[in-house]
Amino acid sequence: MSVVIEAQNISKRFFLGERNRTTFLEEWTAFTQHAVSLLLRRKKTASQHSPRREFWAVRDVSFEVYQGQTLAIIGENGAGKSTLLKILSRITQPTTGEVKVYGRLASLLEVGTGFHGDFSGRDNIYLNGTMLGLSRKEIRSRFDRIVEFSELAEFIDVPVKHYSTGMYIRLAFSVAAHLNPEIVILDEVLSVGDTAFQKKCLDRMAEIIQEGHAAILVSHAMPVVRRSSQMCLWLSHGRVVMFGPTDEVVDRYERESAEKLEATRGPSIARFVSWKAESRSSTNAHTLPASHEEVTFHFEVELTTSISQGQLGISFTNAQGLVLFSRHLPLQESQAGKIMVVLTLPSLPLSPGFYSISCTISNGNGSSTVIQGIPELRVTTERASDGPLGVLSLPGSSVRLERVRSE
Amino acid sequence: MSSVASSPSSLRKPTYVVSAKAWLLSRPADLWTYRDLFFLLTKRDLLATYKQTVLGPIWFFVQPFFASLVFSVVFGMIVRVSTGSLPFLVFFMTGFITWNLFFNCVNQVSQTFLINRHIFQKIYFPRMIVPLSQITVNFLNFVAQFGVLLLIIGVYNLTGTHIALSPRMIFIPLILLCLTIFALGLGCLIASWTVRYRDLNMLVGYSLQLWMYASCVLFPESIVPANLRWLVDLNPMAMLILAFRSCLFGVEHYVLSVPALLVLLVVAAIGLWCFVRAERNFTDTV
Repeated sequence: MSVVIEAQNISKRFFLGERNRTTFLEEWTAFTQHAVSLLLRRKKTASQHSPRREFWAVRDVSFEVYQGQTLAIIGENGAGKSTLLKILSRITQPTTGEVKVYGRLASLLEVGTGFHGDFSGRDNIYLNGTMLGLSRKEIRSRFDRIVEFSELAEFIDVPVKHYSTGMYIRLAFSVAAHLNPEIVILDEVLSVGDTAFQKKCLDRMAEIIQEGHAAILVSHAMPVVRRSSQMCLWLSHGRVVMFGPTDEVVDRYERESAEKLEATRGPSIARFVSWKAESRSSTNAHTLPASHEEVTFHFEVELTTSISQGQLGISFTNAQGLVLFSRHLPLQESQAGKIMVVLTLPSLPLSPGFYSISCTISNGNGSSTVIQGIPELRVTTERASDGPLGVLSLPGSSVRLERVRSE
Repeated sequence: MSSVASSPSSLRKPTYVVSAKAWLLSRPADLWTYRDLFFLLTKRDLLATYKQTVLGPIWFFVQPFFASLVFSVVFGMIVRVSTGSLPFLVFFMTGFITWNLFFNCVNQVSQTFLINRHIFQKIYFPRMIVPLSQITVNFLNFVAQFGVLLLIIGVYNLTGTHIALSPRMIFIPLILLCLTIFALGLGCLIASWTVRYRDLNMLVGYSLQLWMYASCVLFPESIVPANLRWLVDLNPMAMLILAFRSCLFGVEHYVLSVPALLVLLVVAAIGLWCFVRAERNFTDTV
């Protein structure tokens, strides 16, 4: 496996406060003040001498991406993810370090930039394509595929200022999806367009990665990160917290964010210990096949205070945050210590995918804590794609065709 | 792709290297790689000016012609600037379209970073492509206006006023090359400054207008008083416009001013240097 991106000790420094002094006059005033103070040989006052405050958006970041691999970059807002991407895609120069990039890199954070409203979709495909590094010849050979992908064939000669936002984005993404780069950068752009088009885009991305190209994914959605990347780079305040196989990095990331969340929520009344699921055919504690057999969930939490007249709820949420199922039971008198919530379901009618399990515990005095189960529940399938789609996988469902007699 | 797959990394050459030590953000060779973008931007800018106008491209001929006509009335008939054997309209228009080429180039190139910052913050391509395509658009407009000028000269010749064209016309491309290099350099210089000082842009328009009066657009070199000679001698634009008129008509025998030529080269070099410097980090400040 050959390396496609090699980043060594990348740092980027910004100066805070530099933006404030942006007019020529202000700069000039500062300059003359400085000159006068030099002339008069006055001792510099603190304000004149104050060094510009520096801020390291990225600090000593090193990593490699190999061919056929997807690297996820995670971290809270302001961790330096976007700055790192800008350095990789040659938009800004690092303050220290070096990145070697092997192959054409296309970033999908630039979807639709450089479109000109007065020009037709056709003109903009060419302009945007050449901006992203294609030659006119390359665009000509892909033109039909781009138009077909965008589903805008009948509007292709209409000025894009008459397009709806959805059409605009579809056109932009279609160009981006046909760049055939060796390295793709995805920065959570796929929250755009309708669901069907989103799916098409995701499929196209998967295709690009399967063709042996590498990808860099920036996302806050841990299920997406787990599913689509092998390696993960966790940044915090510009520095690398951890770089390694995705499962290890994300496990720790999720654990620490849960702890941090707990810390910010004030005195929590309970803390997560572990969870597992069991069914006849399951082999893994956190993965279940989508079968219609009895499943037992064990969710262990530790109460940090004793609770009286409280309540306990356990719920299943899908990736979009929709609560799919929830059960509650009263907590009359409970001493501090570990308790086990045991939930038995006659079947698990969920489609394949990732679901989060959480437990809400509230005390009679009004304080409550939400405990997220880590990792997420994964529901798998053995069947091919002709199975049912949607949130639910209803037992015993059947579908058939009937002829309607014409009269 | 195949080359990426086959050879081990130690033997492969990176497609590009982003380094803190690099002096240039983009390699000069990238300008060639992105030549199609240059063509399309040029085409876009040429067409964009005509979109949604009634007269369309005709504006480019009409505009300098009317301006020349107005100045002809004021300076040729009322103030009566002596222009030798040339009719004032022809005299003035020659200088005016040349000046306009310079003015438009500097004005547009100096706004490169401000106008395109949304694109520059998201997509990499050699930034120099944008000024180069703007210069090309203005040059093509100049060529069209030059055609109108020749047409007017033709009309004068047919109606009895004899205007001779000089064989020294063959030097005109060289003069235009110097002019565009100077305009590019100066535009780049201002562009890299406007990254930090936005209000500089306001100054540029006024300064350029003033500059026109020191550049022998409206009057021949001969009427410049001795105590203001230095304004002409140090001024690359005066040099270029005088040389242009001199080569076109063979009048006003003009000798190139060495100081002005030096100013031209120094400004162009500093401008390009500042531009590539600004290119590396301008997204941090804009």
